[in-house]
Amino acid sequence: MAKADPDSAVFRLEEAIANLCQESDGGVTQKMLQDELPDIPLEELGSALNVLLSRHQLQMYTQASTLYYKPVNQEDRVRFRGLGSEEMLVYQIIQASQNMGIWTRDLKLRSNLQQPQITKIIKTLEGRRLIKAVKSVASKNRKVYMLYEIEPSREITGGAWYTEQEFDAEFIGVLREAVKKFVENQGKVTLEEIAAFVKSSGATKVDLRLEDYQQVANTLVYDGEVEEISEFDPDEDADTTFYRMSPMSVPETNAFTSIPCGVCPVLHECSDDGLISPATCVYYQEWLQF
Amino acid sequence: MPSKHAKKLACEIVVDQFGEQVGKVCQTLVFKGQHSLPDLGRVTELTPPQLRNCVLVLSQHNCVQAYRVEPDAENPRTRPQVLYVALVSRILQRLRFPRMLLHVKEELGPDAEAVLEGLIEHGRLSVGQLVERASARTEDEAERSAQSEGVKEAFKQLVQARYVEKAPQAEPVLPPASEGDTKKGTRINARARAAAAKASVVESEEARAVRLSAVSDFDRFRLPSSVLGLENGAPTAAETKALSRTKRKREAELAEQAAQAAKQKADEEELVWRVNYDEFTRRFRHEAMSEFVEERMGPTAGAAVRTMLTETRGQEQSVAEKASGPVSVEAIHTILRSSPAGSALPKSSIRTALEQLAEEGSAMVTKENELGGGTYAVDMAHVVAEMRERELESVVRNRFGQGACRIFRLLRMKRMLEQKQIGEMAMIPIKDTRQLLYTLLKGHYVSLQELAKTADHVASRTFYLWRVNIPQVSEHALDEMYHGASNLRNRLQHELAQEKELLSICDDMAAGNAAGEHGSHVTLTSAQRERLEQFRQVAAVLESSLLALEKMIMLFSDF
Repeated sequence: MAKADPDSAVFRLEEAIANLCQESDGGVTQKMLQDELPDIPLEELGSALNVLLSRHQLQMYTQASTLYYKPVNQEDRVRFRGLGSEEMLVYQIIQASQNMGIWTRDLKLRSNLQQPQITKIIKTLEGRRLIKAVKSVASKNRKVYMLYEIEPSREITGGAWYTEQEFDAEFIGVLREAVKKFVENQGKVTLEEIAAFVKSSGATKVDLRLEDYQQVANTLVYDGEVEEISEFDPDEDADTTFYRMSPMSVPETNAFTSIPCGVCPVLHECSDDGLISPATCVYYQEWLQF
Repeated sequence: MPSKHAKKLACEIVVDQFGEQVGKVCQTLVFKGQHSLPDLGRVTELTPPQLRNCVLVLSQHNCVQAYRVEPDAENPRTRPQVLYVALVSRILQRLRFPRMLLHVKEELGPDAEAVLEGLIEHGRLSVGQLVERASARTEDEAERSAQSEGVKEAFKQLVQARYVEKAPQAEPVLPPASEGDTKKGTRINARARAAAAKASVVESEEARAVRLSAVSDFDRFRLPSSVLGLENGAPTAAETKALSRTKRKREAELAEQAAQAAKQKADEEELVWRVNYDEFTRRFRHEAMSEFVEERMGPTAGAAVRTMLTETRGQEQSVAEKASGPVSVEAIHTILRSSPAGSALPKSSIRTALEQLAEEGSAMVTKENELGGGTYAVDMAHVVAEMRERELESVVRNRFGQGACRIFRLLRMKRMLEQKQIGEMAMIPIKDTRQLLYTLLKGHYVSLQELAKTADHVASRTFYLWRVNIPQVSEHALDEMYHGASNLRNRLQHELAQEKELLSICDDMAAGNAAGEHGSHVTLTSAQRERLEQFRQVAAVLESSLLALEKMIMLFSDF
């Protein structure tokens, strides 16, 4: 990138634009620039803007479907200094992936760059603290890259239910048990009451959101242990959802499941004269052993 | 259309009760559809007398229905033929006999039980034969006449409770399909005929045979005069009371009867009666529903529903009626007050219970109108659906585990979900969710719906939605239950065969004892005695399991 001649008209134009941007608080639109610099042809204005953008002196953002230009702060300028167009391309692709992050293979596909090149660029960007690698819970050995300052999505970290990328079934089990006990003892409770109880009981060290408690309570509803009812709540002066024990949970056994065939994994292969038959069945043998 | 294992089980029951030859005929009819007698002869390779006897046995025991097909009007040269259809559901209901006997014994006493037993044993009997059968047990004249009265009384009770009905027509005629249309012969009629033909394809052979042979409701439960005691003049006071509701109708009928009494009496002697399977099914259905409501919503709701079902029983046409007739709170209260158990129930608590039952969450009754403090009807279809789902959930949980049951119920509540959503909502790691879903899919308990975003059906551009199709799952589970029932029976037969020798020794001993040969030279060794004890336990477990399973089968097949 050749430095422009400080005396040239182009340089003066760039200076003028940079100043205008600096002066206005929320950045300027192209329209405002045209109004301020009426005697500059549109093409020249455009190319000047592009130069500024490529030098990371300006950045673009959209608000209410209008493009705004504003100056890049000093710190960022240092971080971006000297990055080539390929590095910027990779950076922009990663930026577009937002909090979901992007995998190197997809990065390769989108950027059309070679793998070693990408690896090198990623190293550079990581070194400058522009991007970071995050491990995804969905596929444990896969790293995704996202902008350094972005909080990874719950889908990547797994939210409160993942510890070190591992699904914490035990933790959930403890919570479920606590919620169930609470509902059982209290009879009829709201979600807020459940949350307050679990917090005070010290069953969790992690700060859970109300939705997390809802998720746990819902699994109990799906299990048929607890049911949701909507009832008028005088405190709220509106209908509220309450949780209470289900009067009829899923039966432990029934007439079919208490015979071996009801739970037989190979029932479909069983026939009177087949390899598996009721006469030779080992499950029957066990069942009829007194 | 009965499923594969239902058919197999039906054939096994027939072989077991009526022997190999009858079984062969039955198997042909069950697996290959309706046959004429000559066709049956060709397939089964039985001699004509053997075949005739087999078909007679099957008809006598309500396992087969015949009907005559008249020659087609367009094709007058075709000969009329009689077709025989196996009634698979009736055969399967034979497993229910012990339950029926117990039910009648509890409701109407041992005399009625004995009459029902006679009908079960012989399939169809006339009143005269029933009396004969009872009197054969005793030598004493006086006892005999008392017994004959007892039998008639019990028989009358059974018919009035609709547990026993007139046997259906032996050989109804199927009217030729195109009778009216042929004269005009227009294209429209041709189309109508095609539509009619299509409709008759939808109706199964079994359903058609049953429909054709059905006796009209009025005739079905009309008692013969010999039972009503008409020979001695007017009906007794007790009978008048029992019949008070239809008294006027009956009186008119009686006058008519008197005119042709002689002829009719002769006819009535010929009339044969049989067990009305459907009435038993209806009672069992009502009982099961009441119990379910009671367990789910409490005793008051249970009592209310039980009363509503009993009150409107007479209005039901088919066994699997979708809704009961409407009953008002007022009426339920009055009925319950006169019963010993419900005397303490205030009207307001009945109303509250019904309101709760009608709420969206349970929806087990529907409110018809405001008459009599609110009039309600039981939503039987809904109650049955809930009962079935509960049993299915239990099967899923026991066979595939807690997580699978959670997914199953989740899919029932949310209808259709993607794998990822399922994992998140059920809080099961995605890997395990996938595993569970595929196991459930393989077991036919969930289904997978593909929803392609593009015409090329590429996997990456397709939604895969999981869902539970209850009718399909029920059908599959029912077939599995029939398979299970068949296995229980086969295992019992296997155990019997294993201990054949020991059991025949026991039989000999019993025979010896009966003949008075005390101190018979055969005794069992202690090892044999142990084995016998073991066998008895095994047989008891297998038999009681079969009975219990049959109850659950009833929920899925007949309710």
